[in-house]
Amino acid sequence: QFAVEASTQGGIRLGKIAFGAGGSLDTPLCLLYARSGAVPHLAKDVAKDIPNLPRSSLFCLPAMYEEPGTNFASDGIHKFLKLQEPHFSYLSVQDPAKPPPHQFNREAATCILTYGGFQKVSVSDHLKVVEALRPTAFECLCDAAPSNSNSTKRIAKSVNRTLSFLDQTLEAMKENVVLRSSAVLGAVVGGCDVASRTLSAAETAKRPVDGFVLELSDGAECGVKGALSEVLGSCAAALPSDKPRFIHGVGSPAEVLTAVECGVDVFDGCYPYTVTGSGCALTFPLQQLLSTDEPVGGQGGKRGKSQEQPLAMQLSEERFADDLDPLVAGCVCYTCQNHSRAYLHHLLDTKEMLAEVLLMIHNLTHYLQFFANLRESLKRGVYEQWKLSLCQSNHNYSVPAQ
Amino acid sequence: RSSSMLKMAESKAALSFKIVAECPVTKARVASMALPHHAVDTPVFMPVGTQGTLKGLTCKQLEAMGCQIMLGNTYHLGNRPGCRVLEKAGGLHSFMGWDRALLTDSGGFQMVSLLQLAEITEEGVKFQSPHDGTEMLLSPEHSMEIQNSIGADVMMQLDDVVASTTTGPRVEQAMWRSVRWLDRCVAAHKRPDKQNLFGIIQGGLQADLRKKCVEAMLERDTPGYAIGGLSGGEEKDVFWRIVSLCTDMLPRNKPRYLMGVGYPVDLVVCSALGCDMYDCVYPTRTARFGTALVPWGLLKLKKREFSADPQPIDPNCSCSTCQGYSRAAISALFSNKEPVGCHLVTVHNLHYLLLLMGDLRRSIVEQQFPSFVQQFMERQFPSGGYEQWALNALSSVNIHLNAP
Repeated sequence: QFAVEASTQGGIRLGKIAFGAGGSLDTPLCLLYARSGAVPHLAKDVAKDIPNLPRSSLFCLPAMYEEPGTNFASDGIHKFLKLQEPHFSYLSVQDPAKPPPHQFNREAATCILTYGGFQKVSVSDHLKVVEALRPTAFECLCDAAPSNSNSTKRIAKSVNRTLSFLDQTLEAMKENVVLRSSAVLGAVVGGCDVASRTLSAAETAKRPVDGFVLELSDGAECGVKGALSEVLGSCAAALPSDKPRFIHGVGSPAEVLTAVECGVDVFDGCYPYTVTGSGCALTFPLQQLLSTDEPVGGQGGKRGKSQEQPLAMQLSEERFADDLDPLVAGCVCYTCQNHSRAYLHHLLDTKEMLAEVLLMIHNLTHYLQFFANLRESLKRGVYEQWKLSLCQSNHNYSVPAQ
Repeated sequence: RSSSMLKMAESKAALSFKIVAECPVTKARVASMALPHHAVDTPVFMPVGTQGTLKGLTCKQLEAMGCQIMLGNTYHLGNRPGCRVLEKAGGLHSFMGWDRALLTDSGGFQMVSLLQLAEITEEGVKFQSPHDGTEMLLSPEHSMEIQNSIGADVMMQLDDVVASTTTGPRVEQAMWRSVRWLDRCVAAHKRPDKQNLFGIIQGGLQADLRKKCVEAMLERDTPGYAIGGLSGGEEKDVFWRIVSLCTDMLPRNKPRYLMGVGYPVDLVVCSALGCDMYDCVYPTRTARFGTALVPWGLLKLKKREFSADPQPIDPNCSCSTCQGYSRAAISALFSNKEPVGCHLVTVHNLHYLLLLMGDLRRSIVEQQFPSFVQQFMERQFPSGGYEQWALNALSSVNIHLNAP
């Protein structure tokens, strides 16, 4: 179930996803990327204190396919992971943090890379796992062509295969009451080719799906080519407004805002993880909205003129070796409250696992706060001013022109 | 020697060791050891946080499981982050965000075990820097300097460690050198009112050498003593006899630290023999390979049999891992090579050991230690087959295990 509460100018949507027994999530939403059942690096007792933690997870097929796979009591993934209900779980086909192994995709099967190696997954293979895991929602099997493929043939194949997989999936669901208890999302593919994307979106919209997934991991170059908003805009225009739009492959704050402006509702949330993996801490300005009377952009000036606020900082740089400041001044996360840049630098230098734990805590906190502030700015009707203050407070922070 | 003894007498005590209870049957005792940063209840197991971190666990997690003291390794910390950064941060406590007790080793053992070209002379341990190959020297003075920068509550002398399987005159040479190096450490130690320097008893597996070492080091009157040079592959049946000999000779009212011991059976038996402090990488290292410590032995969670097991590691365990995760979920994390799998088992293993030591202490206070030992052994080895060395060691302190 999905309801759009209000829509602002330019197609941005502020919405709620209602699911399960009384579950509700505000959109634009960042899912908790938890690929094989746990937030990477974070045990539950470590993650639980992070503010704005959504009761929603993204699991991905490659990390679920072999273990736990189907070899556990079919009570579903929520029971397997002792998730506190109501919880919104979403199973994607590929790992949004990694480029998909498209070169082995075939007419009847898509390829995923599990810990055991490449696996060819047909619709029936896929649905066996969906049936065992019983996620709240799942992405239909799809074939995402690589974005650097200039072959219109290949792109057309990916659009057609994906539609075929969708039809097979919907057919199988007719016969299967367990599968029907999960919401099915159709994948919109097509690389950077606007025409193919629009076709994929329009055709998918004709099917009785519960929502859509804009597969951008195949279109990663769209951002580089500056075509992101064009591609997303054309997709969104072809999709009905009463169903949620998920997206894979978009994570940086600039891209998130572009996507939100094109009408995207739900993000895969793997960005903090990939930033952590590079040994970086997110430092981009959050522009917290204070009391209702406070002008937007209030905190930017308080940080001090000389302090840059780049997108992220690379903690293995030598200049941090003896820097006893917290990662980000004023950040409420456990890492910033208890540790210094110098300590993080040391942990990265010595390849200690705690580096990723502490960085993940910070990056997740920072990123989720960004989403919370985004939603707040929409609720208060001050999105444009908020976005402007993000750009103004730091010249390194760039949002692509609309 | 006399000037160093004078120096010891002049410094204020940075450690107090108060015996709370003694077992009337064995040599076990419970004590409360007050250190500058935190009080520690003994017998205590100290987890090893080699490079200023305990392998993926936050300080908050460690505090939550009741950890009062942990180890850092001088050799590693002296390299990275190094003294300059540590001093700027105000010591390791502040640098790593741990405000309870810390203990550092001298760096000597790591050096000898990690660096193939280490050469031990009267000056110190000569080695080639692993970074650029230049010749470096770790002397007693230098070890004290690094450990003073680190600022741990307890520091260890630089000792001349030989493998316990060594024979011949080298063993005696190393023992006397360790005594001489203790004197140099005492002289070089700049913060005796804030940091406690422990001597380390050497002498290999020879009773007479151990006796001489204890006599000599007792004259130096350090706040505590470690029993070193064991846990290196010697016969267990010889190992316990040397431990027991040392605890007989060491003073009652000072802590006795048995280095490198951490298997649950060893902790229980050596506590019966009168040891107070232990350290070992075993529980945390084995956790990272997917092995969980449980009262009835070990669980190798990577194995197939656990991939569908919905139980927690130990249904009776109250640690955060057992509260939140099943064996199957943890097994899946290991299969998918998620680091968090390691953290979860590390939490459990430490929790288990800290709880074991807590139960052990309580049993001594309640004068129930022999039956605690009996129950522990029965649980670990339900079909009997207790190792002979353990039987011998326990019967030497009047615990005669019943065959189940």
